[in-house]
Amino acid sequence: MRRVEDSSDLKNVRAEILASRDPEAVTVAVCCGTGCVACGGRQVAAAFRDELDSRGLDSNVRLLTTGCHGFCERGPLVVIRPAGILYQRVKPEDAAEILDTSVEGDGVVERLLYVDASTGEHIPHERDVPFYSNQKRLVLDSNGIIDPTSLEDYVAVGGYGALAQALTSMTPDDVIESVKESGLRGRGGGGFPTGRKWELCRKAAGDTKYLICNADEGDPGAYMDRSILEGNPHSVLEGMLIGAYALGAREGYIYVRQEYPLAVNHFSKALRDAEEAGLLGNGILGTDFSLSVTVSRGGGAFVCGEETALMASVEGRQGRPRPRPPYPAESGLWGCPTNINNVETWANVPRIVEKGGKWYAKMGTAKSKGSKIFSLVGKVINTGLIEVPMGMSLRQIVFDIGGGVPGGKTFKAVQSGGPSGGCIPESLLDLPVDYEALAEAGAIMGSGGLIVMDEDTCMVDVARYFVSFLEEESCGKCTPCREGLRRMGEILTDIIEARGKPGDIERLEELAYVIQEASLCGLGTTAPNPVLTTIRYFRDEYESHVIEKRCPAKVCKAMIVYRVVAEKCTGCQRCVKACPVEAISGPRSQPHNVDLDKCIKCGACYEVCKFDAIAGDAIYIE
Amino acid sequence: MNELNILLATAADATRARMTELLEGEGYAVTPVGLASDLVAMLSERGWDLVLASDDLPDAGVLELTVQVHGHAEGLPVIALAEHPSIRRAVEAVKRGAHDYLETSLSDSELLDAVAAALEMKLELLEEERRVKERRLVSFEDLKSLEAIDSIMEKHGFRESRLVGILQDIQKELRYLPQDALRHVAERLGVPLPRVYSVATFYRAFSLKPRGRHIIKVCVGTACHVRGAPKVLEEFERTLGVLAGDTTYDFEYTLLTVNCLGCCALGPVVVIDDEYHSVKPWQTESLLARLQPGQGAARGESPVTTMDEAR
Amino acid sequence: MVTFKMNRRTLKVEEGTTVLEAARDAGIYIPTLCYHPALEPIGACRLCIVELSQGGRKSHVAACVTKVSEGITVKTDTEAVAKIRRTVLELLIARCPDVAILRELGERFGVGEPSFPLGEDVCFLCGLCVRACREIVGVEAIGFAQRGVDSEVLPPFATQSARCISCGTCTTICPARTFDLSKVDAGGGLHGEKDDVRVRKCVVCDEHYSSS
Repeated sequence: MRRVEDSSDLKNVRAEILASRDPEAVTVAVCCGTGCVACGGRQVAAAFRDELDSRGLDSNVRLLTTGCHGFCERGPLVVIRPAGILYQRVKPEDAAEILDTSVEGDGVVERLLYVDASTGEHIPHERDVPFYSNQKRLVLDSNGIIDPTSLEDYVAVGGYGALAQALTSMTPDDVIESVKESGLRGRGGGGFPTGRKWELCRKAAGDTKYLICNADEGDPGAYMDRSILEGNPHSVLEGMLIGAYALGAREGYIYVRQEYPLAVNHFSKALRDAEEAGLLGNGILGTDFSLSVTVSRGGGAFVCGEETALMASVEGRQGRPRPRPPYPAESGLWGCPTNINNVETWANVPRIVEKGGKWYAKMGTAKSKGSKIFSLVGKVINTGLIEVPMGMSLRQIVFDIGGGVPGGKTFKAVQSGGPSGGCIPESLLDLPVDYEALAEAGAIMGSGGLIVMDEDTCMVDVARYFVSFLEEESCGKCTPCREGLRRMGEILTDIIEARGKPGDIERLEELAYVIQEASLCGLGTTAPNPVLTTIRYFRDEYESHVIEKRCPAKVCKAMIVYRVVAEKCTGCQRCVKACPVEAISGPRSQPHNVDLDKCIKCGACYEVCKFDAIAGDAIYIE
Repeated sequence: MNELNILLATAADATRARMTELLEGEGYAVTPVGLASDLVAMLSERGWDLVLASDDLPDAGVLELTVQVHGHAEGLPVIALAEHPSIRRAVEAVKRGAHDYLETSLSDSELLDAVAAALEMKLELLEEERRVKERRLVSFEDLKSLEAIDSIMEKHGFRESRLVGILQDIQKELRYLPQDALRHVAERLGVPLPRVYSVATFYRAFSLKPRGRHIIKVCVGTACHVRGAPKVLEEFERTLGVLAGDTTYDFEYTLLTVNCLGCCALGPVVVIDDEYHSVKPWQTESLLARLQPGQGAARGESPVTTMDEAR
Repeated sequence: MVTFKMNRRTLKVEEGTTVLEAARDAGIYIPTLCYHPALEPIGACRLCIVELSQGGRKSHVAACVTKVSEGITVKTDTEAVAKIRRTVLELLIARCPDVAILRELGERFGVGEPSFPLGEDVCFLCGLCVRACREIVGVEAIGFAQRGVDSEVLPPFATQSARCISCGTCTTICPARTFDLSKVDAGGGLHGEKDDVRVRKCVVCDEHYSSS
């Protein structure tokens, strides 16, 4: 793209780009987000490329490789525009048929359409699929429409318009006022009002100020920040530019998790392209406003999502948090006032500036405004990334958008907020998505991971999972977090391995209180949440483990035994082949046998059996 | 020098007594047993230096036993003793990994010579192994690495604040962080070595030990956890014989866990050399079979499970 | 000057004073392990937790890193504070059962034998040695390696620190007496195996000191 001279020139550039494109032209959009790439998205894109070339259509039809569309469960996804036809689970060999039917013809390939599980109906259009139709997309709206590595694409959908508007017609205070008015709160988990944070930093003494984009998305099960960076990196950069203008910062950092190589690539490309186009660097859009942005890769430490640890890491040190105050707004990077927001927060900013804080504040609940992106994962039919207005109920999210629990199983809980969050039971599913409501239930909004659990999930095992995760990720600086989590982990392991004692649950609660109250940073003070919520809502499961030595979900190995149900077994030998330790024997067409001495309880037989002939029995241990 | 431990197995009481006395007289520590099963049971009890096994054991042949010993303790020399030796058996014994094949009724001095030779070879091997390992921990295999490290630091402007990035790039280049690399970085950046060391040991991305040719990362994020990741991990540990975080002795595989790769829809997810796979516990072996040494990485091949199967 | 309440007393101290300093001046005892007046406080051991009331909000904060401000109320003697202290001590004793200072503090605050399996550590990671070496000596010969429960104070690669000048400051400041110059005298190293450390024994007090 050519260099943009000033704000009014941006409009010209956009007009030039649009003029060079035929609005009626067909676009084939192939999702190449990490999820779709993992199941062959790139091969699908390559197949379309070859097929288009060989048909000589490469100049008439645009092949677009986009970021995450969200519907990861159904990947690789292909969307044909302008018709808006959604094809799911596309294989490279399907490319020709799709081009024949929907690009050169005007039909649809029935077999690749989404099928509504409840009605059995084939749904051709993306907009009609319940997974999408129940969403409200502000931040994710361009994911799937633009090529994330193309600045032109971003400008074509109005990108950098908000920056131009801020630089020409708003003072920094106006921008802050607008963000305050919008009610936008930190999307990384804390929920601190963004406008107030900016104001504190702007007013802080000192000429050198920094801003940081926190992309150290460490919560397992949450990948919205990655998808934004991969799918629409310029939206984050534009937010940072507007923020820098409002704060008076000239230097910015983005701290990206090392497990996200594609996000680093796309964002780095965005930085280079923006700088060449005069949208970053010195004298942005012909004004005297300047900003440089540096990409800083994380080294693999969950605690670096905590802002003081993150800053230590950016400075090249161990990511150990320090006490606050002083807050980063006063004394952050190298002792200078610093403003940290996460990816999703920054990506919201251009929308707010463009449409006004009041417009934004119309969406959501009394204290939680706008929309929120969640990754809906675990035991749910429509796994993927969704964006919904604040205030939508968890039930709508899990059942209307997510389609409920697969395999006819019963819903048990949804875990919100990752390792710092909590498990919300069925009885509270009508809770609205709202910072305060979730906190009251003992969970947190967190960065937006929603992990659905069903009857086959053991809540004690889940609690142990999170505790051992955090034990591993604790920096080790303060006593309650370092030593307390280890002891909680020991107690939970005892319970799971059938060594639980009366009083263990109370001991867990006691330790949880001290870790919550006395830890140095947010990692520690929120660490007991998964344990506390599972005890609060699923105490009976704990008691079964401790008192009866029984795991109701049949997950805890020490308390289950696998056996063949002779009446149901057809002797198909599937389990015999699946067993990794040759513990199952029996001739074909005869009921098989499990040798309990050899069995390592991996459950492979249980999972491959098509006749429900393997039972994972809960056993009682004296 | 420490005492050398010899495990002696023969059913004949007289032979056992004679050899024990002879070897103990030379300062070796000898543990005599009369059954092959006893010998196998003792293998894991301590570090042995040599096994002497006769073909008169009632519960196993000496050739079979040699293979069994090596299954427990690779590199442990075995001297097979035969009452009625034959050339065919001798060839077979050496083929199966025996260090030597001798007649039970050999003379004292012959026996002592054979034992000394076997032990010497074992010590040499051990010493060499130790030297190689230590050298790898401390310094580079290739001196060009030093130039590569310099150019990495140059790219980062020799700035201390870029330390994490510098170490990441070095690790990418060398697959781990040798001690000399950290020393060199500290020196060139003008940063105290303890600070570099503390950073290198704090972050999970870094390894101070050499890593394998193939990196296997098992996702243990929450979504993968509730969909069975622990079983997948266990299977990899069992198949490879190493725990998560470790490298197989031949530096072929390093098994790692990772907290969420953001492919939650496909869980349980395993990444082998940057290739994503949706894996069920019973598929680990076939997955690894594709990576057998010499066959190259599975790069470009399709995942072991097609998406339809995985669902 | 700042006026605030501590327990039932009203105190007046200079601005910038920490809660811990104010308490010590007023003769109110708050136990600490990772605090030393000559070093920057880091708030790591969490033994000095107190209750802070500010604008109707109560929270627990570490006294060593919290500065007093006008109108706050600090309580060092609530049941919750006592409970936190006891648990923190119990956790530390379980980690380092043989460290005398922990047992003494435990006795003082009524902490019995820990209910957790006992460890064998002799260092509870207060970091005084690391900070003294950096902040006072200006050498930075040792640092924290690893993280979490595996954290330890080490010279690089756990061998020898070429930067160590054998001043012995770390041994003097260590509340657990983990570092011991007598080990050097006996042929071991202060931080690994440094050959040129010369250590002598004082003929008067029998303590070891470095003379290199």
